[in-house]
Amino acid sequence: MSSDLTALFLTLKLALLTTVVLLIIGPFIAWWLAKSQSKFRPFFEALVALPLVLPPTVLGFYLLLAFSPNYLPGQLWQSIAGSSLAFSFGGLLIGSIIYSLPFVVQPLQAGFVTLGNKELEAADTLGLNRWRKIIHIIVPMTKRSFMLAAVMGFAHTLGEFGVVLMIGGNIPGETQVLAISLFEHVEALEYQQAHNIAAGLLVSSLVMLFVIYSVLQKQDHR
Amino acid sequence: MRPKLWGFITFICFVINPVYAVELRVAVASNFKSTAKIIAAEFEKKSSHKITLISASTGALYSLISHGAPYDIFLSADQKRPTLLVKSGLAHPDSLFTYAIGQLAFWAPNAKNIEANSISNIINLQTGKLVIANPKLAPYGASAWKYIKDSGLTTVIEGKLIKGNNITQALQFIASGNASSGFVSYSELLHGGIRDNFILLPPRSYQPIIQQGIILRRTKHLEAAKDLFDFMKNEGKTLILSAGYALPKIAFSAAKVH
Repeated sequence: MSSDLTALFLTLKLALLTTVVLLIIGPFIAWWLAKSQSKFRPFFEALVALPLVLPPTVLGFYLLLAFSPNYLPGQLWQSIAGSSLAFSFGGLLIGSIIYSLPFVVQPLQAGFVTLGNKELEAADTLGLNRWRKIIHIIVPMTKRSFMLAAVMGFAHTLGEFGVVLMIGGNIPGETQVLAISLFEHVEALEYQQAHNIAAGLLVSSLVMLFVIYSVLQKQDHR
Repeated sequence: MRPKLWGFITFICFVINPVYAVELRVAVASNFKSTAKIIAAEFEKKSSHKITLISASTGALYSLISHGAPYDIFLSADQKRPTLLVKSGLAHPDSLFTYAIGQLAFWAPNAKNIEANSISNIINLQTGKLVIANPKLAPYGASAWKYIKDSGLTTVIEGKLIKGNNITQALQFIASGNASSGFVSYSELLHGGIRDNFILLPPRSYQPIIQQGIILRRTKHLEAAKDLFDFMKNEGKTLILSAGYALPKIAFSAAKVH
């Protein structure tokens, strides 16, 4: 059980860090996608949506090549950091950020699209600078999009499996996340431990989604 | 004209579409897949049966079979799982036989002067990871793990050990350059065209990997399955030996296969 607890904390850490990083970079991407008139916008929209349609093994495969010291990106990283990204928590984090990107960007983009230009123009006439506009107008008005984005990013990373299977190497405390130890228990026919993890993931994911949808519904009624 | 045309059509049908007697689904442990492919091709030439190979770690296949996966034959990489299948009534006990004995090798593609060095030294010097197959699921991994413990390497590998889902992923992690070294199947090294920078472990230094095959009870093609096993026990032996495996009572020598 202790190894499963280690996997639980590792998974929570991975999901939390992924969500934090995505909540920092996601809004900028989403804002550009929501407001840009550029003819390149559909291309970048497609790029962001790719993880939704591609099998995780595609990402896993390219990450494996990118991390390898046999190729340029891996060589560069090795010379800077001194260690390889493959089979490391850092590597998983990169994989998760890419893999969960659309789950954070898309709700935010939807929120920004519906955000009226009227309020922003009013803010401009009041002379608010960009950061004040973000803090006082944009974020409060799209609060529910931010909450949805955070929960979706977090919950999706909890369930990450395919990428980790290909680049993780199954190291307890470093890359052995819950979905991987569940897989291992099932294959080794250790059904009791498998049940513990599977039911745990099922219930916690359901609760998370239920809570966020309830909160959103309450806001709707206001 | 007409009878001639029908004759022609019948002729074409027989020539273009040789009637496969049956299709055999063979669940094969990852390490043996490349060898099983060669055996299957030879067997198909002789018998007109068609063979489909399904490969994964022995543990994964065993789990699938115990849940009723529609396979005819199981080529395991151990003795334990086929015996368990017999006990649970899922396999034909009299079909059980040892088709190969696996050879474990230590591979470090970038290590210098590997013959003169000890495995413990090589691992000590490397900065990257050391990979084995998951001991819980893959017999090659279990054997490698026991070797590591028995030869006192546990402290040497600390912080360096990673696990592949099966022995083939272990090999791939090293081949792609992501891991520095690892314990892999000698046969897969040969198959990958790797001729140097590995150490073939002496057979008595580790727990032997006795790979047994068995016919599953749910098969509808018992005769064809028996034909395949007979082929493996006779003509197939040379193919298995030259793929880098030993056989019971035939002493293994690395020189023979080079």
